[in-house]
Amino acid sequence: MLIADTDAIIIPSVRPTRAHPDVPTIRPTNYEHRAMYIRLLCDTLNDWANTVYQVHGRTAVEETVGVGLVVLEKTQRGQLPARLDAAMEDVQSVIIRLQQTAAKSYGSFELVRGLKVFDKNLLYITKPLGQRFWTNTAALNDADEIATTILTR
Amino acid sequence: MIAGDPADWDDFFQQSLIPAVLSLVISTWSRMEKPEQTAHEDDISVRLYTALTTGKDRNRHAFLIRYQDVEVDTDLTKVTGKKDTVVFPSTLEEVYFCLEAKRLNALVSGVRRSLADAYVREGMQRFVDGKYSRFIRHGGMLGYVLDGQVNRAIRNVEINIQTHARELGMTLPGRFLPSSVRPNDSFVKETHHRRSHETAVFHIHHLFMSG
Repeated sequence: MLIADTDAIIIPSVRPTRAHPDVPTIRPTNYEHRAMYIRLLCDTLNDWANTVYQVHGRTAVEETVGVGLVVLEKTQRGQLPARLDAAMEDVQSVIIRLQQTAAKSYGSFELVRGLKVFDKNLLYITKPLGQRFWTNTAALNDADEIATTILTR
Repeated sequence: MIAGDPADWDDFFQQSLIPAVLSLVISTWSRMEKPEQTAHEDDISVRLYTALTTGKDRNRHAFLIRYQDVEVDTDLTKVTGKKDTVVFPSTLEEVYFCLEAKRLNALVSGVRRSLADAYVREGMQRFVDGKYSRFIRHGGMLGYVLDGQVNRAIRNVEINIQTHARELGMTLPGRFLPSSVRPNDSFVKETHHRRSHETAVFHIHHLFMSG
């Protein structure tokens, strides 16, 4: 999986030239990339989870501000997500709200594109749109960071 | 950048690292040749580390084990100590499970010494002061009980804990609790501590290894 990412995305992106500036890492993500990312992220977290809980996930993008949004909902295992649809309804307003939350914590008003915000049983993640942020490697790294944040809190 | 309160996610993951480490240490110790009653702490720890890392089941455990890992205060750019045995579950330097080792009931210059005071003041206290495991909520103490009198060693340590309960941030009178990880193992205990730099409770897992 990591080798495939390296072969398909990283190696072709090394040393872009003026003649070929459009490399895979910075090319905007598409629906298939995001579907693969969210599937692996959820599968990995659910593999590590105890037998009682699981996560469900959705992704969306807001191209006008160049931000992708991932929302995870923690539920009892076997239970359907109850808040995901509402959480994804208006991506732009969600991103603005997340920015305000981050600004409260960090005093920063700049656009946040690498943010993880816990809101009860929801976890919001904002990401840039470049493909390199939506690879399988990124999904495994994000799962690792989420687990570390929760386990070491 | 992480914001918000992850409290609702606290129970999401299986806490598999600490049970796995405790089991590995106990099973490894049971296979080792037991140390002499005069053996030095570092010598015992090196032998334990060697046995841990060369064990046949080592590949089952996806964590890195280090011996005498140097603790650096990155704010002060200063070395603050050496942790005896450390287990790293990820690539994050500040996330580890530290096992601090102390001898108990050892023969020192021909005299039997309980060394329970050193266990508490030079071992447990380092976790409570945040010198070790500052950013995490679990730490471990390894008591090498060199005369094999484990119950006596546990009693001596508990008396010392009670004497220093306030400095240790413990609820009085300051007693051992049964292990939440290995509740049926009478040689494994647990203590809970309030540290000055955080609100979360810090857990010390105590493993008393019979010599």
